[in-house]
Amino acid sequence: MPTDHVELALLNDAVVVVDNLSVAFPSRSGSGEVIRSISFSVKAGQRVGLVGESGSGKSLTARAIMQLIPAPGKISAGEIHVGDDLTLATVASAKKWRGTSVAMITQDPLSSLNPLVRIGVQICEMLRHHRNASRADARRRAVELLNAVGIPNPKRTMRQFPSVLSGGMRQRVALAIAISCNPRLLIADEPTTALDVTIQAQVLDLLEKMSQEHNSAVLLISHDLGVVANFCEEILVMYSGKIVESGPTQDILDGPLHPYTRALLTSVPSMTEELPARLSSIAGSPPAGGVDVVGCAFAPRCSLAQAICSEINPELRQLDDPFHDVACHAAGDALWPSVRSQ
Amino acid sequence: MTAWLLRRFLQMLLVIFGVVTLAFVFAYIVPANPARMVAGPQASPAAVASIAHQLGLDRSVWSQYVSFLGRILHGNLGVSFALQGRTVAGEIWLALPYTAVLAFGGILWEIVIGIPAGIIAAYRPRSVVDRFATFGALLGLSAPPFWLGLMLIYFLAYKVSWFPLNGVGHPLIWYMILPSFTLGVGGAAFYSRMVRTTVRQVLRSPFIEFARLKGMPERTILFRHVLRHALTPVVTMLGMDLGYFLGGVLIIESIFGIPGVGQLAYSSISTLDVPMITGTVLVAAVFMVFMSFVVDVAYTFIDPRVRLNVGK
Repeated sequence: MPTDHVELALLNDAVVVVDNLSVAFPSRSGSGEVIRSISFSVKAGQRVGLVGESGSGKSLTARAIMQLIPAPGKISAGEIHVGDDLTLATVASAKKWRGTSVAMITQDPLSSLNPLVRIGVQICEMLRHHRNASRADARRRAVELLNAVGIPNPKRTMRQFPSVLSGGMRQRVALAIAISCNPRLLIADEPTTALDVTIQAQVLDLLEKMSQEHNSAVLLISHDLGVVANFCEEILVMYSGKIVESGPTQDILDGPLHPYTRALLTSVPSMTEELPARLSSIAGSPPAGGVDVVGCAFAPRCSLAQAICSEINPELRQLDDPFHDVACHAAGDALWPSVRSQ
Repeated sequence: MTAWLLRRFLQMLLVIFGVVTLAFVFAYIVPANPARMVAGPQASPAAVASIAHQLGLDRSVWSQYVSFLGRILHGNLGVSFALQGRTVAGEIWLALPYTAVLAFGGILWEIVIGIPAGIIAAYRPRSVVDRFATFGALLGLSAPPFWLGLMLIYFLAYKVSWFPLNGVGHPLIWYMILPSFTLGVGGAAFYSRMVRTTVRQVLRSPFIEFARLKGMPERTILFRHVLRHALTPVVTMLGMDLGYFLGGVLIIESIFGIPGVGQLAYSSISTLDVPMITGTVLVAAVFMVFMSFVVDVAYTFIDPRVRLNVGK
């Protein structure tokens, strides 16, 4: 029951509730579902990571929240509620909260700023439009924001065009724009993927600092389990349009319940132990997007797959930890090898 | 930036110098004898020779070239052979206002029809408006101007007398509506397609998605973020079009009986009026070269990346 979920979420201080969301790109051959009935919520100030390989539906989930799914895709089922008052997110209601209570930064800082528009204008237009700020007030606040995100000479940068800034600096500007209206939820879609490793760390630190200062929740989308593990309190693991495991970061790192999460963790090269001759990887590839899958989508690649796995789609369920969910038939079975003993 | 401007300006002067030289060479190698043209078919060889001497045609090529350059530098394009006693510059000066109004009118139609049609078609691909614009563009591109001009005259000026039949008069704008429309329709069709393509491309770019994620209203996104990108190629083409039109548009001018530069050039060719040919060619070339200079400068204002590169 959606309303119950929302009421419960309000009590829990949630700033986004995704309830049984499905997104489809309708085609003649099938329903074209690429996100299959996912549910999660993010509380105020909380940092949640959404991990999965490319094509798993992470970015699309973010765009569904923002009500900006590229055509011909559409939300085929479920509801999303956003903001402190958990307004039902629709294309129409988005005018009220998009950019203000829910903001988002995207993957490629090199192309997310308009190359023909001065940086100052690209920040000020937010404040002018959403906050009705005067020209002077918007400029003053924009300089403050640039200063806060660590741009060395904010006044000069205001007059410059994006092309003179480096990728890291541009992502800082994008972040300044995103936090300009104090969002309750900041979605960061692979914010550091296009940056080199040292800059990555700086941007993540800044993201953390900004989210703490503004008490903004962060939904960090990444294919990089390492990034998410360092940054987030909770992790959602997505595979082929479904959330297959969710729980507190430490629990998932220490005791992953889904074979996919386990495989992901073992394929992260260790920094302390000697590297194997060949880095481990997950054999096979995920099912093509939009193809209707019977049973568990991971079954063809799973070493623990049983007959039931290719017949019945496993639902998210709890084992013994009430905060740690997994969608796997085999999890918790006698056959299930203990991770800790490995 | 200033250094670049100066360099670009000098470049323009160099090209104009080249055009002047070419114009001289062509006038020099014309197979017909200009002195004979001036003197008339019945004139005696002695009379022809005397006229040739008056015109300086008996001097060496170099001497003729140097005095030609000197004259041009003083803005003197010579005296017409065919129109006795009239200066070439004076005749061009009389014809130019008509051509200028026609040219700017044509450009205006191109902008007013082409750009909005392209934008609407891009925002609503495969919609009724898009299909209509596509069909219209096909029509506009494939309709020959002489046919379109005649149709417009027949229906809008002859059948219903909304517009004057042809010629020029007062107010001039009134006489220029049909001709400039005929002139602009092809360009409008072309621009609508070009704008459609570029706008569609820009709409797919990440910074437009980011602008939407920022919650900016669609109007701001269009005017601040999309149009600038879409208009860069259009500005280039429009500038070149204007330069081309100002040199005279013969077909339009002759259908509508407009005494513009195009007509002047055409009649000077048929009478082998060498100074007039040279003069009209020069004027056309200078407009073209000057407009391409203007376009280059305008470009640096639209796209800061160009400014950065030219600053280096």
